[in-house]
Formats: sequence, C-alpha cells, structure tokens
Amino acid sequence: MLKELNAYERQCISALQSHPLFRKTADLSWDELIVVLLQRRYLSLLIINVFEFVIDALESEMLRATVRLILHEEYPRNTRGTPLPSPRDLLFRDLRHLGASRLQILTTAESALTREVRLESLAALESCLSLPHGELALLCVLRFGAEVLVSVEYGCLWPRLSERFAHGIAGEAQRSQFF
Amino acid sequence: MIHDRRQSDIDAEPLLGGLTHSQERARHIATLIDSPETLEIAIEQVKRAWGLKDRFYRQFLPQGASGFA
Repeated sequence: MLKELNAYERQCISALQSHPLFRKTADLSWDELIVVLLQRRYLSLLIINVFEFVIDALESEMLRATVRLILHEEYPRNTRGTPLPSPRDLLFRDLRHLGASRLQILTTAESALTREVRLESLAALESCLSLPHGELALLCVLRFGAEVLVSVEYGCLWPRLSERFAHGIAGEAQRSQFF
Repeated sequence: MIHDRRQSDIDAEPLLGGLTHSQERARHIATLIDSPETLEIAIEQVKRAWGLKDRFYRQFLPQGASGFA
C-alpha cells in the first residue's frame, strides 16, 4: 500500500522540480528572483505557527514530543545555552547577501496570492482535525508540505543562488547559512 | 543549513544511523497506514501540499502557463 503513496510523492516531487517557474529560474533577473524569495519568506515565517498547531493538535504524546524537538531546533542554542541565530535570522542574512535591502525585506508587502496560500496552509492543518484519521493527516501535511517539498524548493533555487553567493554582489564571496 | 529532503521511501528508512525529521515522520506514517482509507487520506494530504506549492510559484508566471495537473 505504501508503494502507491511513495510513487505519488515521487510524482509530486518531480512535478515541483520541473515546475514552470523553476524551469525558468536561470532566465529570471535578480530583481525578479528577489521578489520570489521575499514572498517565499512569508511562508518561512509561518513555520513556527505550523509546528505549534501540530503539537497542540496531536493527541499522541510520543508524536507531540517528536514535533516539539523540531520546533526547538528552530531556536538553536550553543552548548552554553546562548541563543544562536534562528533559521529566520539566517534567511534574513542570506537575503541581504543576495542583494535585498533591509527595508525591502521588512516592508515588501505580502501578495494576495501568498496570503491565500499561507492561510490555506493553516486551513489544511485545521481540516485534518475533522478527518477520521486526523493524526495521520497532520503528519502527512507536516512531513510533505513543511519538510520534504521545502527542501525540493530550495534545491531548485540553489543553482542560481549559489552563483550569487560564490561571486558576491561586490565581488566578495559569502557563505549561505540558510539555503 | 540542511533542509529536510526526502532521502528514502516511506517504510524504507535505514535501520542504523540517525534519521532526518522527515524520515522519522515517515516511520510514524507507515505505522498509521493500514487500510485503503488511510492510504487515501495520506495521498490526499500530499496532493494538497503539492497544490499549495504549485499555486504559490505560479503567481510569478504569466497567467495561463501550464504545468502539472
């Protein structure tokens, strides 16, 4: 039975990898690419709400504990307990290195479609609650939407982004910490 | 940063060594899928997650561009 699910997952991954937008990533101007990344940031900021929702929604304490563990990784600390930059901090830094200004990152408005997708992502989680196998549904949404596909997205963007990190904007190479 | 890529099929996670978060989740998912009904629910969620990504990236394309259905 899992064969069917695995096959479907692979189909979706491959469809995302060959998404029309990712097929033309190389042709996008830097300004256009920054627009994509700034909208994508709104979905990155959502991740904490997603984890918190799933933790509250899962009934199994064992499952809650596994999700809690990931949430804690979103707020890393060093061995002395000092807070380190979060993935969102690192994303901000990377966006700056890619050429977005501080103000641009902080003040670019969320597009209507991004807002729609963000709200529907939360609605997808909420709708799991009324399903007969709600925990399974929640885990599937979390795993595939918030973990697996996110990695595919960044994998598709990376060839273009790595070029910029390697050469830098002012000729000074930067190391990406988020992507 | 290492994002949580899909490193193995569901129910084919390695027995030894650490699991990624998505592999750990996959193990739990495998134990919960035990009927055509649960399989359908799982596929439905995967489809929905994919659909949201598709729509998100489609906003940057000229209207009417075709893709995966």
